[in-house]
Amino acid sequence: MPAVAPAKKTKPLIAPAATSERELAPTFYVVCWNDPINLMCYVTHVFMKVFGWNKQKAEKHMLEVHEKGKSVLAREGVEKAEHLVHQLHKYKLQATMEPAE
Amino acid sequence: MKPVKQRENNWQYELATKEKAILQSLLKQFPITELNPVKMSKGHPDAESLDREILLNQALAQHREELKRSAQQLLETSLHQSEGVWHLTLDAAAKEKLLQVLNDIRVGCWRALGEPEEIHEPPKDSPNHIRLWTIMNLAGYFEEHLAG
Repeated sequence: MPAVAPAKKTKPLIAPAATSERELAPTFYVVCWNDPINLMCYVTHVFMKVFGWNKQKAEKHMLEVHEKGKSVLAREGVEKAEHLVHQLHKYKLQATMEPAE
Repeated sequence: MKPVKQRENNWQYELATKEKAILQSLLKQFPITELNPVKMSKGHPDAESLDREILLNQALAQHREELKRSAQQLLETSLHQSEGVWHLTLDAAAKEKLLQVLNDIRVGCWRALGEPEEIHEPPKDSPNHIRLWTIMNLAGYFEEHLAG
């Protein structure tokens, strides 16, 4: 029998740094806005290319842009959101990144 | 313009002589309009988002230079005539570049027209606006075939 009783396993008071940093890092919505000029088939094509979505998902977001004026395409950290906005603008889609609160 | 062959990463379209001449003309003229600065966010910009916006606009200016080279390359390599018929042959990368060039033309003309909500009726105010409207629709015609 050990002289000292084994220490009780307790939950750490502070979560591991990596997790909390990721959780606390600001995230952004990548939003695509409607305009009358980009063709519907073109917008669907761009969503498939940039996000790797299938046609059904790309069309769903394209229709949301068309009917509701905008669609939230992703929620990402700053670098990834920035990258996605760059990609969408290269195709001349009106995209922005908005802080997710 | 009609698709005649499609393998995994390769597309071939048949073009009438007039279509080939129009596509060639669009590519030769690229870029047709000025590059307009874009916004990174709809909200009130802070210092960080202004920096992001500057970087975005620099990247887009650089991208347009690349597209200009791509348009030239497409002119030299993608159009071929065989037995009296014009063919446009594209691999996946060339197809993306062509779509981006055409949409740059289309959106650029629309912006130069004052970003009208109504785009189906031709403008009646000036010959230059009629020219821009025509080019905008011609670019859209090819886009529909490529992305449709």
